[in-house]
Amino acid sequence: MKTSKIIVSLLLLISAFLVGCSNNDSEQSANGTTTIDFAIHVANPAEQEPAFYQLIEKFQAENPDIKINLIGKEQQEHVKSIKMMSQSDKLPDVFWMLPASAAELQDAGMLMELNEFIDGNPDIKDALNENMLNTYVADGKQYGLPYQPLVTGLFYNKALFDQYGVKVPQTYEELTAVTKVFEQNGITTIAKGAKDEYSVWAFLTMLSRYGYFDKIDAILAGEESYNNQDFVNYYAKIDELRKLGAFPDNVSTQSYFQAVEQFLNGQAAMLDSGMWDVQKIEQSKIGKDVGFWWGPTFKDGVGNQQVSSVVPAAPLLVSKKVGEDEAKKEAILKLFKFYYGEEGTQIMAENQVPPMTNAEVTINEEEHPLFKRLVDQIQLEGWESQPNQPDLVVPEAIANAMYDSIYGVINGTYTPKQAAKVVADKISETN
Amino acid sequence: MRWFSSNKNKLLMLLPTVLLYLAYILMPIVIAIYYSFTKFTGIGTPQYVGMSNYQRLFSDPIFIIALKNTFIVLFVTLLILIPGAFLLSLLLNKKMKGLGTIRAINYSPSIIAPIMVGLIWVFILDPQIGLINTFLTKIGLGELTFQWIGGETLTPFSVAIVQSWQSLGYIATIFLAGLTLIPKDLYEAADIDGASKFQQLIHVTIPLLNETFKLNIILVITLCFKIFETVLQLTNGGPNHLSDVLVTYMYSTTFTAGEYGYGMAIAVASLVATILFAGAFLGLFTLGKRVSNKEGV
Repeated sequence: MKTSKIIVSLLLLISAFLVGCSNNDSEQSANGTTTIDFAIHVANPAEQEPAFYQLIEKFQAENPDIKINLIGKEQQEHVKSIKMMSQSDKLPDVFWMLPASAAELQDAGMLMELNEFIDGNPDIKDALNENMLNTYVADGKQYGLPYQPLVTGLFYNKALFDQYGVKVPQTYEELTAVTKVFEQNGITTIAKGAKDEYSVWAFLTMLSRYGYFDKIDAILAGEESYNNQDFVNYYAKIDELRKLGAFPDNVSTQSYFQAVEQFLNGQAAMLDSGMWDVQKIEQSKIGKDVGFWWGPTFKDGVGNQQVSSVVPAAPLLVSKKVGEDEAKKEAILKLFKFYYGEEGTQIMAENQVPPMTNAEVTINEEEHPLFKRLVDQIQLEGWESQPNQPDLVVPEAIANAMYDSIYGVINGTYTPKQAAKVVADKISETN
Repeated sequence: MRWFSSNKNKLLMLLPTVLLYLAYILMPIVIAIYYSFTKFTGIGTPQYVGMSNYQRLFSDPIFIIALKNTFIVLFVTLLILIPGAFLLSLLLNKKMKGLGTIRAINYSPSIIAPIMVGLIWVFILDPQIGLINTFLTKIGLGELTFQWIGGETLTPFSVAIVQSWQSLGYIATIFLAGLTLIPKDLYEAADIDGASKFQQLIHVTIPLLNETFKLNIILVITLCFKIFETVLQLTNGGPNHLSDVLVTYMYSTTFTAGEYGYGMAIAVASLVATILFAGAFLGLFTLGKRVSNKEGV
């Protein structure tokens, strides 16, 4: 009797221990307040994503009956956590996710359709740029909405261009010419850090200028190869820039964040980055002298060369379970209406996030000269955005192979042909 | 007392540990093996693909590089660490002033988080900003500057040096514990027989530290097969995976590229390699002991 009691107690203890490791379900509609669990890809949203954080704060202030429980984790940790939760069917109510994984969650039937929101808000539907909506549609179902617009390109230090008597380039040939001048004067032309392989934004837009979006569907379907002459030509251009000394000597051991510092310290003429660095650059000592450029056009490029990059960032998704809770669903749709409406867009703009709608926003040029220049570039006549960022329309494994191929050429590890083959091989493996 | 030591009670007392071991050690291994036979991105249902992930290992050049790098790290670490830690323990076993402080300093690298160790060594090894190359250039020996990290060949050797630096005190402490257990009478007897200090080392100390050597070598093997943070901080496996070791490659495949199935195949292969290597070493050790015993007879 005694022994069996001990066994039962032990088993209960262990069960309690194991159960204690699992998450509790989120609080719902307690005391008339609807709580939304919102999982986000940064550990400290207030500091790392001020635009988003202020928008959420304002929404809560205007809607005291809705509480938003922000769950912030560093991006890789966040993605892992969402994947784990998807396995136990415990997705948070609203969450940020990488595009390829978002499509997989939709395929697995774990997301709530947002068609009702889009159709119920024609003003938002009409205001959102076309690619912002179309990217997260599958079989006519809107399964996600962009978190923010993703604007990427090359920031340049005008003072350095003036100091060495060179013009900001427009074409690839002009870029090689300025590279030679900077190299002779000990200045890095484009600050980059291969330790963070994903930091290749401007180079992905350059890939679009070699017909990436004309080919990618056929490539993924196995009807064409990634290892084609146009893409090899693209890698050959990066190789030529490497040989001319366009990149930092320690690019292979430098991180993206060190590359940013290199640019801010005036040691590099350009930085491959995006809108998220605007605030940091504006607050630096070179802030007033920085401009923004979409990157070079190519004589041997394919199709339109005046390609900019204003694409939807990773999407916000809603768990399918939300659809079963009317109060929560209503609260989330209310949040989205605020988020994508004029007020939300203005809060974003005040925090240097460009609009993803055609809404008019006020920008204080005195305080935010670089942000104004970036928005001017977005509205530049004759330039058309690529529909998406090339890495965001393929599975994660292929996207990583693309990063690897670009940095492989920058590091001098791969020849242009080897680089194209690395991605082609990964596509074959993934299929 | 008899009731307390009955078999039933022994089993009962072991039960919590066994259950926790099953839940947190064996179950994850079994789950990893299961996923290694699937194609899985972490979302939806895993798709059974048989042995294809394992077949892919043999044709994957990066896996071969990661395996080769792991073995380089292992052999270089064994070569530096085992003799180095043994000699250090001999020094620490001497009676001298401030011995306690010296022992504490010697052990200190072991208590630093590996990610911090990596960061410290980036500032020493980096080809452009690192202490070594800057120093060599300043004293006019620029031709001796190399790409200690971030190049195509030297990174695993540098990782081995960093690993040895970090583990030296830890391994030396284990040797030291072994040395203190050797009875002093044996050295007195050897003295009376006229054995020199070197002969005492070869014929008394080393044979009596047999088990300690074995333990330390197994520890170094397992340490090297699970090196992660140091490589992550030094190069993040770059350039282009050329400095990846098994664990960093497994991590990037699983969590960065989202190939959970293949990543688990790499993890299982690493586990098997560790067991085989440690087993082979133990086998060789036992064989060597038998041969020497026979020769003694």
